[in-house]
Amino acid sequence: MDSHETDAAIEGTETELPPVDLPAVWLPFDNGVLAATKAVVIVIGLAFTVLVSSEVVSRFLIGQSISWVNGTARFLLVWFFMIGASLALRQGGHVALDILGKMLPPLPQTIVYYLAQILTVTFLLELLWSGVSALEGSFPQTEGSLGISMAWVMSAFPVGFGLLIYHQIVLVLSATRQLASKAGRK
Amino acid sequence: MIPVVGIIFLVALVVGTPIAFAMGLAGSSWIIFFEGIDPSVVVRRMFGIMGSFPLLAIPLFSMIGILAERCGMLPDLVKLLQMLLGRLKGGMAYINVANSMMMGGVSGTAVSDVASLGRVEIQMMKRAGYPAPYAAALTASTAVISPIIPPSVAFIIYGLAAGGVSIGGLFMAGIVPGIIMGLGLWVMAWFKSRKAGFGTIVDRPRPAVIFAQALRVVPFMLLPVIIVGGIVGGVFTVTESAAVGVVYVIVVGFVLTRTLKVKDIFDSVVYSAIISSVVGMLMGAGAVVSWIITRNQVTQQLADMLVMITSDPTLFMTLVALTLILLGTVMDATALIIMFAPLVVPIARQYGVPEIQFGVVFVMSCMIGMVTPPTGILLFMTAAFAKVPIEQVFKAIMPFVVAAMVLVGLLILFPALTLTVPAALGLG
Repeated sequence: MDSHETDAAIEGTETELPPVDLPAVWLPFDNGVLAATKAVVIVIGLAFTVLVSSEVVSRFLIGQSISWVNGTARFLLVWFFMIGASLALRQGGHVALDILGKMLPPLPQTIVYYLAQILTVTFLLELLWSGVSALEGSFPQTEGSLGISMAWVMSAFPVGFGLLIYHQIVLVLSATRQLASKAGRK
Repeated sequence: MIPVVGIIFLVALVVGTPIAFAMGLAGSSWIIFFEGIDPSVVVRRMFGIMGSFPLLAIPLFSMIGILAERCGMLPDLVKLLQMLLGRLKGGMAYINVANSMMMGGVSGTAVSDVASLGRVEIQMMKRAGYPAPYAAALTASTAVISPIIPPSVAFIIYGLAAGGVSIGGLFMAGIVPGIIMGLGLWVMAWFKSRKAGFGTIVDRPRPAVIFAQALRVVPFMLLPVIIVGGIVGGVFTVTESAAVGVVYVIVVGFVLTRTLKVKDIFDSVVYSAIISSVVGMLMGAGAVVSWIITRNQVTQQLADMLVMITSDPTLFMTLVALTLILLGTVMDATALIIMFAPLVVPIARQYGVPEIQFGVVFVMSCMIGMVTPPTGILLFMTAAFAKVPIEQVFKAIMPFVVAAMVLVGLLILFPALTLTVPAALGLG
């Protein structure tokens, strides 16, 4: 296999997100949000890898598992999913059907696009609401093996859905600016 | 009120809202607005599944896939396969199949499998002079087998979504059907190569060169041994095996081959977050919908209806398989598993179908749908990578679709194909 093919293999797993069309003043903030998100995701991902594998090691060496490892890893996983979902949104990774989009002429296609965005935002707002109310209820609850408040994990939902709403706004704004500049050129 | 959930879901789906969001929108709207239940229920349902230990295996397996690619383990394997099989007529076709059997099924969804591995395979086959439609069709059909050979993310998702199905048992159950399908694809490639006169790609290297390359591949070959062996031997759980796998690849990449950079590790985590959070969101939204389904006894109503149609378990499984293949032509397999496993698995139990056998039939049917014309999504992807009109791929894929359907039929008729291995290992 020549080196070119190896390059192609790596291309498939690039972690760069597609560029967005935002006002110039907004871009540094957006890049900051993405960089911070990636950093948090990396810390969480490495943390649960170390935790789970160290559990295996400790079981071999001391013959028993560490009581808080399982619970902590599960909490980290929730954060990992909820934060990672916004990166997936920016990547266009959330699987969707794309039947109508391709068949329709431009104008109905635009209408369908915005309808889908409205439905997405409606969902995200509902879940933000649900997340906030679940968080409120979780403060007095403690997780058994960890002895910490459930709020530590339940806060992942309002934060995650809040982030998703932010990124959804970015994507819609970017698409709208693209449409407007295309219309302007005509 | 249940039709309302369905209508919201379908409308959202058709206009192109991501599947997870469409499910979540339908479920949460129903809970919050139609039933007036405390809104926190939605997120608490999501937490129940998203914070489950077995699900942790998915981001870890995704990390293994990327790390193995970055540190050169996978390219080394491809090189060895080329040396061993390249001088056969149609060698690249065999390599494509062997490759998918060994390293597929790790990334979470068949779509991302094709996007990463499939793209390379198509390029390699085209460069070796194979017709592009054949390259596209073969690559799409190998995506059907890789998710049933362990380690399989599809089976983890199924085991969790169905509730209480042994994931280790499913892993083992996939081995025999996976090998049958792989051999079947090889035989088909052999016939095709004879007829079309596909060439060889390399001269036979000296045995010493092959041996040296085989030695380089040893660390990679140990990876499935550690993962599968560890699970079968009861040394660790599926999730733990995945974490140990990540650490193993990192150690090999840093100490043994010295091909891994710190940036590769960071990239693997970020990429894994992107891939696996899609699955996480689907699982979360699926948990909300399945809560509604349970609460309204939809499963029981459906079961009653099905029993009126047939009381024969074989016919029931055939109906389920055909329905899934049909739905799979328009929907991602992961989403399909998450949506329908909680609904159908309890019914399968009522029919007395062994749940591991049912699991393999279920997952394979979802995968076949994704390569079935005229809408199978994997075909569109591979056609785009191969730069050929989709119609040509439709023609080239048909023998593979038929072969895969025959295999599903065999799995339905002969439970031994799926149940023997897990039973022998005490995982049934």
